[in-house]
Amino acid sequence: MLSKVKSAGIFGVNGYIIDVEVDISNGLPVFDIVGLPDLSVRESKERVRAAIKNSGFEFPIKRITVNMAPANTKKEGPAFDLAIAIGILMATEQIPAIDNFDPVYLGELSLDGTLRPVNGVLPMLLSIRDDYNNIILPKDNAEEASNVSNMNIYPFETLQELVSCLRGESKLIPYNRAKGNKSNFKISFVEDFSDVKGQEGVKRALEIAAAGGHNAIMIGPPGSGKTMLAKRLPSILPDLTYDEALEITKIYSAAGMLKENEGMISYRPFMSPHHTISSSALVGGGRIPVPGQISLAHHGVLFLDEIPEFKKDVLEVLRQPLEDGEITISRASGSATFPAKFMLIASANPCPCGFLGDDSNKCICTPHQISRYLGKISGPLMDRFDIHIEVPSLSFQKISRNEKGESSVNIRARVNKARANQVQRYTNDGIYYNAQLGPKQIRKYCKIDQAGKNLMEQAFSSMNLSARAYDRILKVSRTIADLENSANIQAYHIAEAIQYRSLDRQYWP
Amino acid sequence: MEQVDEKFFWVWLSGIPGIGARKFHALTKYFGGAHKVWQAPKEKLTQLSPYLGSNVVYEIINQRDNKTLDGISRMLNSSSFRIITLLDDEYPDLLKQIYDPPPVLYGKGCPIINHKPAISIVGSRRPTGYGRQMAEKLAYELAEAGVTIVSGLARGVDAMAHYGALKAKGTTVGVLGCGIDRVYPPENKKLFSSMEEKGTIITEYPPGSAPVAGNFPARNRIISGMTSGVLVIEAGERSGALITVDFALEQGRDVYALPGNINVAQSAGTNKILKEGAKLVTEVQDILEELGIQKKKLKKDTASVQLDFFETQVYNALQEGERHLEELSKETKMDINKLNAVLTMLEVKGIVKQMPGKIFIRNWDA
Repeated sequence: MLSKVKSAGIFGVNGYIIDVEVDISNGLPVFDIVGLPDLSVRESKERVRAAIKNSGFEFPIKRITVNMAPANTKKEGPAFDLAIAIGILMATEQIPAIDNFDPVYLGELSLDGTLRPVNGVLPMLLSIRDDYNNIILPKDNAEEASNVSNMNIYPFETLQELVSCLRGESKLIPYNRAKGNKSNFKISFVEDFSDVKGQEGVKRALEIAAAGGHNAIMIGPPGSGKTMLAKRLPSILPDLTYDEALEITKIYSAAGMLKENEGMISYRPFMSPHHTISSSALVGGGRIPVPGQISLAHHGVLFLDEIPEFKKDVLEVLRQPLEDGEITISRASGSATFPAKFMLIASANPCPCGFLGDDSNKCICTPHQISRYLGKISGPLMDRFDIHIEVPSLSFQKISRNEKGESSVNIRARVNKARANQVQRYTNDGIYYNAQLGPKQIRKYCKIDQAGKNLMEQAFSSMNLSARAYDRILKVSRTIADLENSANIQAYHIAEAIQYRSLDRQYWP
Repeated sequence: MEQVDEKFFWVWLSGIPGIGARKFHALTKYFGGAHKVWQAPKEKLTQLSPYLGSNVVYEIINQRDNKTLDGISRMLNSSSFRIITLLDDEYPDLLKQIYDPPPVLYGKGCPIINHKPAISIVGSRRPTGYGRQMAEKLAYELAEAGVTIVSGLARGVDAMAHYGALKAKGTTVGVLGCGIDRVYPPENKKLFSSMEEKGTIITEYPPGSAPVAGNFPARNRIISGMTSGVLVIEAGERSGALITVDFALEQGRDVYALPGNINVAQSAGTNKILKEGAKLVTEVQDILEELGIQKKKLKKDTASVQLDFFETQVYNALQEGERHLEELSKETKMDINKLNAVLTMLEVKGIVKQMPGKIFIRNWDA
């Protein structure tokens, strides 16, 4: 007897339909799975056998062949357990075939027949929603799956329940999210800028970075609060839209990082990989590609603490995704494209010992050591940082300890407004914020008056600024003007922007 | 002709490894000239082994060949540097008076002007912002008053002193601890090239010599020896600048020092020598009066720079010295964005200087 049921697999962040065919014939009792299954798929034999038996059904002592089509792509993971079990039960006529009802089965089986949640449900459903609209899946995946509209979701807790439904013993009821729809979607933050006392200069710089989507590097001695500040950056980034949240959730689902019953990621992610990270962990990789840290930071913040300590080749792989907002990973099994639109925030000590610029003059590094330390970050990567922030040492922070900081909500309101200005200005340019401005667009949108030009000229000669700073100062001035709701860039916008280029300065002749 | 020949052999003898100024002078005195050393019989030189060391004698004997001669004539004809011996007019007069004047100097840049008064400025290689500013300021004002500024072309105070003198379009001499063809420390490359153009660089070490640690204390005796006084800007407790002070005292030269904050490590050395009797310098006049120079009235008019209300506020807040951005914001009650803009304006106008770590200080010439 032959039966066919549908299941789905995932490659990158895209799902595809898999046909699971089960043939049962007389012969020696064998259970074979073909169609490039990996180890976790092959092991499903044991789970399926036990789950069928322990749910009170009969496991045929015959020759069982399971084929998973398309047979030329590699299958991974335990999500096909349920489809195989249903296929076997159908082939042995323990479940009748239902006309006009050919759902997609997703789910891992435990030995007692309970359905366990699987990864990647959201991206799978988003990819197949046009052709299939009945999904049977484990109850724990229901919340996540219900983000996809126009689909009938049938969650079940055990194989037994499912079979009795399919036998017509009880009714199939599509899942409805409790109060659940889009309007319930709300962004939430744990960390708030009001927790940070003082540090006004740093906060202002981060506000500008958030408003213009600028990448920023923070330079400061150890323990000055760089990580604390960076962690709070997502809370002042522009409001997360539903579509953005869906994209983030898709990636997290594919990576298996959704928490139980977390239907939707409702906050901007903050990823802070350790500096020993490998390049494939950073950008994604694996035999069947999985998203890396930069994709997990999609629409959020990628924070590289102590950036000079990262391996050089690891840092260099960041350049292309920073430019394109996505990363394509090619492997023998095919190439997958992951979105990776993130804000890069890096931190570094000012010098190897960390005390350069400290008021106590404790620094013992030679100028050569200092330039070599920050020189570990290549020029092209350094060029991606529009804003340089100097985080003061603790001795300067004590001064303003007792003041209450401004809350993230207030800052975010200003950021939202500035972003709105940018989106409006760039409607015909295919970009959304100032950090994306190319050289040509800078000439077009960052026009400065004579006073501004004079200031730039004087600043470059008197501060020994390097030439590469010019465009970056213009971009940042544009953002400062946007924050002030000013249509034109004024000289004082430029004057402020010049202060965020510390690393281009040569302090002494 | 005799004179030229003698210069030739001076260069030869002084370039032999292991022969310093003292051994050079002892040998020429013993044999009656460097040329005589070249001609001296082997046995006679070998007899000197207990005094010179057998290695040195071996080198003298071994380097008496044509190949060495070629090398020396190439050096004498070199276009990138010149050789100044103790016998030449350009040789600094004051330096001749010390106990062990270097017989040969290799020089680059402008000729040394002997009749001008000279002061050496030395100090820490890691000075504070205050130290850097004072080094530049005092060098500028001394050079402006016609004093030659001598220093060691090192990091920190040395570099700032040279820059100050160059800024005033004055004369300045840098003394190296390595060969004339070397740039050490490498980050002073820019300074080296402007010194070659508008100042003078000299060294007693033959071309190709590496900047080994032992060279620098010996170099310091030339710095103090060339000048009538040594001004110490900032020095740690065991700073090389204090070695220069020791040489100055040995050579009978004046010692000046700039007082510093007693809590700062870089002031430990200067405050110590002040206690021991160095002349305290708070303004350039303190040095000029020792040199017998009448200071010209300052014609600088600061009124040419116009400051607006906010700029004046920030300028006033910097009255007591360096301030961090956060401190300034608190003191002036200005928002950070406004303050940042104002600080850039002040920097551009040359009134305020920014130091690493968002610390601001008034410019000395503001």
